[in-house]
Amino acid sequence: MDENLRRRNRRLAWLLGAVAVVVALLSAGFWMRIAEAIS
Amino acid sequence: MSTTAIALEQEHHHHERPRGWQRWLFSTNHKDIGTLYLIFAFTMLFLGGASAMVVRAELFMPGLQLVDPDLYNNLITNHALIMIFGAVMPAAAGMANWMIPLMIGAPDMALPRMNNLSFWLLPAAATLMILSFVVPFFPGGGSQINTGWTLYPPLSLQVGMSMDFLIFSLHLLGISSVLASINIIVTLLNMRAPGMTLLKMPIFCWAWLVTAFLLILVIPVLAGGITMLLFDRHFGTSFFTAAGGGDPVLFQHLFWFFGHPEVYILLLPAFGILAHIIPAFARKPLFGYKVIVGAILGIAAIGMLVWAHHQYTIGMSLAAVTYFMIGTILISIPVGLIVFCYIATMWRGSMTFEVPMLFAVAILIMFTFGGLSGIMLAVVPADMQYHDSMFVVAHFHYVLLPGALFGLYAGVFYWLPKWTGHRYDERLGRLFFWFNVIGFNVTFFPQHFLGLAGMPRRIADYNAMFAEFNMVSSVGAFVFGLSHLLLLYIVVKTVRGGVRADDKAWDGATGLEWQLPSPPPFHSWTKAPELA
Repeated sequence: MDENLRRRNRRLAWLLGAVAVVVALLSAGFWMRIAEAIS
Repeated sequence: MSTTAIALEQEHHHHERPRGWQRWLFSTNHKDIGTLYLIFAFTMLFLGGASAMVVRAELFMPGLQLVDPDLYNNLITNHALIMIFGAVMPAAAGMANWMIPLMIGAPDMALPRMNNLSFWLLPAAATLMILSFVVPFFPGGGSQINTGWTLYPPLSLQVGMSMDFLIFSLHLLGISSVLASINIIVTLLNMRAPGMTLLKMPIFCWAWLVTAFLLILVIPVLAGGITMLLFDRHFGTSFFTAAGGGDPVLFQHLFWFFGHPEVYILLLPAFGILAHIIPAFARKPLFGYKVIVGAILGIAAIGMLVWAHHQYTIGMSLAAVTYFMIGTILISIPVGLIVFCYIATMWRGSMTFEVPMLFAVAILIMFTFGGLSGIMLAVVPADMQYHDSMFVVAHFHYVLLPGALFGLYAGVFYWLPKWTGHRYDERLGRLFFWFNVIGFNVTFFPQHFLGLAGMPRRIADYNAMFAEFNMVSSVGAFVFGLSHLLLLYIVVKTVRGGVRADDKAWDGATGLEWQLPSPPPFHSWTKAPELA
């Protein structure tokens, strides 16, 4: 695999991983608010 | 030795085919990892199936025969979690591993070592899950998990240490799924053959692209929820304990924000498989490619916004339940569009009915039936009656077995000649299909009547008035369960030998994967293919 492609792959993978971590951290607070609003 | 020579030698070693156990443990080859996923999923299918058989044996007649109520609930919890996380998701991931690089003309997955890690997390997670089932039987093991797969507090806060095993197991399964999803997205976005634009990508790849994004967006929410559960259990927090100012209903929201899209995570890859099988056996191009892509995106988008239709009975405001009801019913539009496109593909086609096509037709009929009972459940006043009854059990099995499991069976029969280089025994395949489909319908159709007559789910005993339908359902379940031994036999027989399969195993099949030999070489697409 060409080094450029390898770098692009890694960069996108880290970005997607960061999205997953941010969603996990935000979910608790965000969904607490939603639950309060509609329950 | 010059730098170039060293690089060449390393390249040579890299491309050597590893042998023995190292080939599997250290594998970075997408086909080997795909095979590992499929073997793992098949094993878990039998484990989850065995627990379902005990459940149906218990429900064969009223009264308690085989298991006590706690073990019964432990079994239904394990059955659901093993089937969802152990069987269906890994099977779909196995097919993604096998087929995506072949379909898009890539040499392998984008991140092969991460691919190895995502698979090898699974056996560890499965061990923890099995331990969560057996630990209560040892001295000091605490009580059994009796919450069902939804793990609702406050019950899940009172269960013994087996709940901790389950929470850690789900964490590992979640990490595995997120890593696999990242790999699939990167592969699909960065590794397509030159000329394969997104709108030329096979539908199976589209289905997996959307599924992978769904996984990245919802699995972390489950991880957050169960971590909060763990903190409530051991570290004195009160996220879900009312006595400490917490709210148990919050967990339901967190769980179903993951749980409802999870249904589409299970369904979409199987829908994608049908988009390849139906044109191949109708000998016609797929009808409405762009409509199907749009519908998949629509299902994912709406599917993330309707989670609380699982919670109508918690006492939400009228505005909230109305929103969730309308949103849920709206999903039938993109789902209906996909079914319409598949039927239109068959219209006036030169159809033949080999096993993959038999499954495809059966799926369209039975999944649509499950979708219709879903619309009944989406209607709030009606759901107040159906909630937590066997009607719900019948509904989600009609959606998930045809929609996900049968789609995967169709995929197994469709791609088995490509994977193994041998044709499966068509006669035995058809026998499996009929036993499977008849067994399935005899099992789950009567459960609609049981639910409507008032039989609750998740309870080991029932009123004598429900005896006949339960007996029929259990007989169907045994036929359905046993039919899988035939599937195992067919797969093993095909792997071991048989009539040689052509590179293009099916007349009407199209796509890059059929240009490669059957089975494909250890390193496929070492040179990017030319797109016609």
